[in-house]
Amino acid sequence: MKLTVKFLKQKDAGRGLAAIDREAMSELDLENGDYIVISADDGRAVARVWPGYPEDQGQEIIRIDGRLRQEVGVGIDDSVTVEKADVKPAKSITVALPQTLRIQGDVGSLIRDQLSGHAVTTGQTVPISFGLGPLSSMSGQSIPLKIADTSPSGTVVITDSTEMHVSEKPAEQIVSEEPSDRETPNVTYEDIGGLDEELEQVREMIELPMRHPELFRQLGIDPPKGVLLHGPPGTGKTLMAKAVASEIDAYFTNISGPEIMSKFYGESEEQLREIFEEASDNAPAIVFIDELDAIAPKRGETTGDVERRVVAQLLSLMDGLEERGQVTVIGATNRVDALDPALRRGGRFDREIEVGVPDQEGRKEILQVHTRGMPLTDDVDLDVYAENTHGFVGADLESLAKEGAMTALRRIRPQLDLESDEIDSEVLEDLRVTDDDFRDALKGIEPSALREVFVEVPDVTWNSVGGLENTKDRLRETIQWPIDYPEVFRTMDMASAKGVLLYGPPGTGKTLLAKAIANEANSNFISIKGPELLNKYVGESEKGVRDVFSKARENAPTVVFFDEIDSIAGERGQRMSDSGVGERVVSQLLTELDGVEELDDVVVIAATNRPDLIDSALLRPGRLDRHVHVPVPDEEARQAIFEVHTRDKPLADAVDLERLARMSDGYVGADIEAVCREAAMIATREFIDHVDAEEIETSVGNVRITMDHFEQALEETSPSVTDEVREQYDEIEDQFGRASEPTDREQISRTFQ
Amino acid sequence: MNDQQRFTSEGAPVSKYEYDDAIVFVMDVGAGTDVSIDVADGTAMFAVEGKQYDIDLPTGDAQAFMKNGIVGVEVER
Repeated sequence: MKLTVKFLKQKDAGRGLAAIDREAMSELDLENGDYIVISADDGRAVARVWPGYPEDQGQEIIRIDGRLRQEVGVGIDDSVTVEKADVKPAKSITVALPQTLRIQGDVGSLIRDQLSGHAVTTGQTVPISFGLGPLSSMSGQSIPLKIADTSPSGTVVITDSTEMHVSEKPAEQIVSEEPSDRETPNVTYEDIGGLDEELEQVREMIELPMRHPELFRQLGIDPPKGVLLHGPPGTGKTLMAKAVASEIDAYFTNISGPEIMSKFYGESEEQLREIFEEASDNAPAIVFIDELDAIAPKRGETTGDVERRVVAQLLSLMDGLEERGQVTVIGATNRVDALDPALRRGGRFDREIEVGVPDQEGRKEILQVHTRGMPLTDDVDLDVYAENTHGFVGADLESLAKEGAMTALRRIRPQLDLESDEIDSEVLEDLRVTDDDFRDALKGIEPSALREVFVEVPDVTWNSVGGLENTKDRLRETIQWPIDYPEVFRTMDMASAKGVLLYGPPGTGKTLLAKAIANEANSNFISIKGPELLNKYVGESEKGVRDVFSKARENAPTVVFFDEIDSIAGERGQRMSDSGVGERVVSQLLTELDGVEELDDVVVIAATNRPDLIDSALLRPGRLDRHVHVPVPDEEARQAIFEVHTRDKPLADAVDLERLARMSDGYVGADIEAVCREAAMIATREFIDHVDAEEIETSVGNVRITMDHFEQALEETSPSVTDEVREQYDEIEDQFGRASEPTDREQISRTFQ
Repeated sequence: MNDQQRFTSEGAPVSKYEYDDAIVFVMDVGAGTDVSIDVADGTAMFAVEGKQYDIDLPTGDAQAFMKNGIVGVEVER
């Protein structure tokens, strides 16, 4: 029976499974787990039947992974013949290892574990990976194992009772390697996770015209000539191009920008022409231009003559008078706006496909791809890592998997004898990557799109914030709730708040609160110190604001924190001394916060102690719509702050925090911290002055900070908030705080009725 | 870790496919691996090399299958 080949889901790949739709299965009289022979003109392969995907029902589809497709010699959408196979369990089997592999001990059982369940025939090359997945060899390829002999002969299946022999002769001597006549990269569609839609688009543009040009002739149109892939670095643009090339088995040639540049006049263009000529001689062919922006920048903006000529040459090669034939160009860039606009039109790059940062589902698929060959312990839950890696691109996830494996390796390093040439196979077999390894690895990896602005999330929890209960609650509902309970917000048809303004006298804990949010909100955190955005060049300061927000969007959910926002968002129309830079920055901020472009899952927190200086447009609903006053702490709050700061200090029993809180009227959080530090310092001073140097180490455990010390410290530190300052802030709060911080809800609702 | 660890259906490496007429739970343990499956009281118990995975089945006629390391349950609906 003829079935159509499609690709397998990432999680089912690499195990020799063939998912066949249910109707075809009953027609062929197959059951799950049966062996089948898949054959086409170029080859045959054996696979086990796996239940077909529900979406394929009745469409006569067989889904097999890239390895099987290669064995059979077919691509996606080709048709293959499927028959029930008669395979016997193997009694014994002889395999040959490549000459370069150095492992001592009994690898037989290891190989058997890897191959168990696979059906093999003599002469077949089976790639296996020894345990460590990406580490087994740095190029990410597995070890080619040759089946030298089987008993009984024919197609046999390896079971746990199969005897394994390792041939004396290395694999290279048994059959000479098939000469690889063309360079086609060895990447399959199953090696790409989370880019199903993009992949489908690319295939439509490239595979279809190459396989069935007659379709396009019939329609009377020219087949597409090129595809431009663009997106942040590390999202899989190059990988996608490689996969397409290997799946359709086309001639693949690669242009890397700097390589074709030559110092001789005309030579760079010459090289470009040669590459295209070579490609059209070998048609169907794919020419892949990585980092396209390097060789095709905007002609008007480049200074060099060479660049201009290279761009012109490329343009005419892609859409010139000469027929290009069946040569498709794939370009990849992460700076699509830097390309010459003439390239971005139909006939050259007919379609532009954005390869974005993967979502949670995509991240899981990518992790599945990269941990496929990795022996994981059962407690590793990839779902958890997919959820916790906001903003990670494929490359970051790959390095997460790799780092996890490296951590596992570090664990067994002491057992390895680096002097000896070979590694004990038992050590290899015991190697497992645990959940702890992954967690360790995650700590060291930050999303690459955020590297520039990434801040180490501080180790501050709500617990380290004393008092401020109201403020904490308000922040939690603004920032954590939309992320934690999206369904509630959807049901209530409520958009999450765009921004929060924290204002209050200096030292009351605004920055500390932001740190706690960063830690607790389980999202990416970008911290902007106002003045650092300012730049001496015209337009650059606004660009800084734009960059911050575009990064935040790409890596959502994100919390953007502006400290001292009054420095960049002052009232407009006041100062003209800086030629209006400040005003333009404010305008940019306004449009970013509430502009045409949606700001999804991005929350802005701004902190200031001069809210009266901020441009009023920034404070209206839809922008920084929540105003949270971080007040001078009252007595209760001061006690809580004292508790936080003395938590780990050795206090004498007589220290009464309640009394201290009563005595410290007008002290803000920072002052209280200073008092505690000062008290500890006084105690230390006394201790060191009165104890012999030799005894210090033994008696340090007896030191206590007493009430006297605190009283002295209080005398030495003066409160930073005077009555004047407090009055001033109360006034400010009255001015605009009350309106958005309704103490009396009824009154508000009546207003809006 | 003890040998008789129990797993909920969430952690088990079992794929679930929902068709129009049936729901299939299936896992691949590799041909030749010691495995057994038991269906009782609306629960399917997979036992693979000392580990047990319990899966709650929806109501309906359940039929277990096991061949060459592919084990599973098909529940008609």
